[in-house]
Amino acid sequence: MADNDFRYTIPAEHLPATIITIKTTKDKTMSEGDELLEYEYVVQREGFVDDDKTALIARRGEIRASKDGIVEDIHVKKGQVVSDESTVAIDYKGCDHDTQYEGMCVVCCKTVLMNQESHVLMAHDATSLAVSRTEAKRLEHVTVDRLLNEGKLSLIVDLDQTLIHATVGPAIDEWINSQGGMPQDVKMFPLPDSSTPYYIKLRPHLERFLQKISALYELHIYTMGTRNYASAVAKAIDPDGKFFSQRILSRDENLNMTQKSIERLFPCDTSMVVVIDDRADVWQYSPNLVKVHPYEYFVGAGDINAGHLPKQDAVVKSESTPSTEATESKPAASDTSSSTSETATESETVATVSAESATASSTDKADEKKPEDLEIAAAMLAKAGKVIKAKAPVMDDNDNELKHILQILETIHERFYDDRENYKAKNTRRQPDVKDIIKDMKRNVLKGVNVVFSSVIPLGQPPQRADIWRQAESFGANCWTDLSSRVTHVVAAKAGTAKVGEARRRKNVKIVRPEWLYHSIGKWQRQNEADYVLPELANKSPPISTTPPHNPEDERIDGGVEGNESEDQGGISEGMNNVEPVKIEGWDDMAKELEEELGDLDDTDFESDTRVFRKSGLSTAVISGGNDFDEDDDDEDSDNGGMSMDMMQQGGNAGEEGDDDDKGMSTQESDGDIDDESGSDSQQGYSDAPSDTSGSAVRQRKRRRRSAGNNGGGMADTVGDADDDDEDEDEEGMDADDEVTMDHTNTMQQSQEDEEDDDDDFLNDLENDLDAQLNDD
Amino acid sequence: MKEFLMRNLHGDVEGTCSGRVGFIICVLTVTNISPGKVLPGSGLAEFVVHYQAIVFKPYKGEVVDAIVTSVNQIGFFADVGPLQVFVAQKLMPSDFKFDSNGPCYRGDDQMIEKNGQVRLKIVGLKHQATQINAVGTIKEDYLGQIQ
Repeated sequence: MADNDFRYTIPAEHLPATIITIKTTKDKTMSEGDELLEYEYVVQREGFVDDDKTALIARRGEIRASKDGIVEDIHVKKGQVVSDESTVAIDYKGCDHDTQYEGMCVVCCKTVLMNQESHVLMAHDATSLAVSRTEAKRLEHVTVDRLLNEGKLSLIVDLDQTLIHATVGPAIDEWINSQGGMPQDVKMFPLPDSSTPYYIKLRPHLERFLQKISALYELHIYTMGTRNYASAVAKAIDPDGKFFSQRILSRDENLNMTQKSIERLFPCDTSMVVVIDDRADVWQYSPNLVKVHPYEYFVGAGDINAGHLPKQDAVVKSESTPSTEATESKPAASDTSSSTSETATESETVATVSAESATASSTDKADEKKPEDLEIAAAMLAKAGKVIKAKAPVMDDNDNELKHILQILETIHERFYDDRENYKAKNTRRQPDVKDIIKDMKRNVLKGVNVVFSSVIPLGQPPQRADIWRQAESFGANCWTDLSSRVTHVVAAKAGTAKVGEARRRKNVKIVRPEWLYHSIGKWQRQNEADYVLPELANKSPPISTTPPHNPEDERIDGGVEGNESEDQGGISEGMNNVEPVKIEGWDDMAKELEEELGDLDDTDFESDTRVFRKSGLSTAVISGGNDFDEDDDDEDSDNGGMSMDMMQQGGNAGEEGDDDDKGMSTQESDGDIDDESGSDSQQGYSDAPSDTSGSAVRQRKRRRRSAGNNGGGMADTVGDADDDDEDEDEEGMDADDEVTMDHTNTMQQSQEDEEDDDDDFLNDLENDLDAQLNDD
Repeated sequence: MKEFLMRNLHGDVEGTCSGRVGFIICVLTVTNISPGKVLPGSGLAEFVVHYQAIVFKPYKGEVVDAIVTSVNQIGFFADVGPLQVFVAQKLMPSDFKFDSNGPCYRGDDQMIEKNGQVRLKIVGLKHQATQINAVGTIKEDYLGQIQ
């Protein structure tokens, strides 16, 4: 760094000069502005003392350090007279404090203030070491050059549930003992300062994965486990250190308990970094991330290092409810289509047991000694412990995720270096960037797919923010809340929802289970929809899906919740009778099936729908084959049908709603489907509010009632508020000034959100009431 | 009583570090134990104990032998007993190059890698209340890997 070398000389105009004092020594660290030496020179002044004489006046000057740095050499001595311009007094090296160790510059040893803005952490295993942005850039450049020379990229891997699954607890000890030795690929190690043995199960194909991938990528571990844990696991999966070496970053060095950041390791340039992790949220959905399906082997253990992380999105969580776990937790099983019905039963039972034992887990917890960082996971594990006593504590183990990931990573690598060749050959001006490649690859997976979700995204949150929604969009699908004519796929958790029924009447809409989306996303490959037909619909229709690999298990699972006889709902059938029977190729059998299966919906919302389908299903059952009818007609009819259905649904709800506010995921389809332009008083234009519409509708009605008869004091419900308690409180009446004001504001907001103004009068009344009350108070 | 105090003293101070005196390695003799003073509000008593101990107090310019604990592209860490020293790449001879396979630093005839031994000179110290950090250099004659 030549611009940091300084050679201090005495200014020419001050020559000759005598050195008075040297205020520094060789190798001394100086700060900016420090005096290095002092000298004396004389100036001649004419006519100062006497007119005809010139006077010599001594002046002093000094040389100061122009920035922080170290004195390299001093070439002058005290008392020396310097008369030559070329005489260098002091060699000085400036220092930018590029690298700091514990707030101390590692070059000049000056204490510098750690500045989060200008300095970043780069070292995997030390938080005390910070480098400046420029230095970081330089170092990264070195790394990038090296990687390009080696033809590699960087890959950051997560440990828990990505490469391995870990657990602790006496129950596992027992199980291992009863097995009479370690099962294959299960390793055990204690952590330092603790006698608790940890068990980790390597994900299938891990060794091969690491071997193959290490030829293409430089591997880094980035885990939320502690340092000791990370080192121990790294030792278990990579005993020679040939894959990861010392490139291990643990929670201890992360400085953030809830998030991971690529910038922590690659502060400037992330164009060559790929991340694989089972959680996208901790990476803030980074464009560099390739999400993998969480690996689970020990039942109930989850991610032992995720205790401090925020809970996963509800969509993901719902996978572990007993009804869906058996299918969802074994994507690999369905992949290989080797899953037997036996394993499905087993894990189902296990899941049920674990749910039961959740309450009794506190006793187990007390006598288990856990390291502090695992206390949070203790409850979970204790739960697992209970299960283990009943059943083998492990899932079946034919997970193929790493194979898929390997393929994806290989493709990314190949495309990166292809892009680079193109860039070098100046075919393109775009710098190769894995972010673009990943984005592009993902977008192609579900390109042209228009999705509507039904019973998949829980209510009470904007669907756009749901994990599955975001995932689908990042894979190129367009998501909709309503079943418009563009929609090509309905992703439904169960049959019998309004949207499914609607879609069934259109021949060009495919109805699939959520697993279709999960697997398409998981494998980065659009799956065959025929393999993912809803079990209720697919059961007796071999013509559509020639090889439905996991239908048997699904059937059983869903059959388990079957049973309730639906209630009668007068008037609905008339509404549906004028709906033209729709011919859907190959779906007629399903209709029959549907009728048999549809007893399972205990939710009042669905009663109307299901009954509707019973009717329409029956009428379609006689028609088969032909798909030669007019498509426009179809759409129109379907729209009509959907509308009337929804209206009726609203009507049916109103009576039930007051005492039943826990509707779970079911009312999702009422959102947006409603195309109620006739000005029905149950709708106030809630298309913008992605929440419980029918609930709000009821509330609206209540409001109206109240505003008609009352002083309007209880109007605190905002649009999205689904809490009945609030309402009760409101109804007790609030007289305090501020509350009324607040209510007023809410109402105003609400009125802005209204798109249809059919309730303007009502709002005006309401406002008048409120104003009146304000004045009264 | 005296024995108890001695035991407590050994347990409390040995192996600790203070920015003022350095690392207290071993208590040698106790020179004076003051009369105990019962603390109001609790049954505890306070004794002021004067003692002599072997301490390790690093000085700037001191040349020490150390064991390398970690190597990264910025430099390497080395332990001098309880003291952790960091040596930046800039304070290594100019022929030292970082090699990520290892990882290690390779010079013309030297190699610095994890668990290797180095001789270094302490050039900077930072004393904090309970810890001391040091910056070292190997960019001088007779410093570097110990063969």
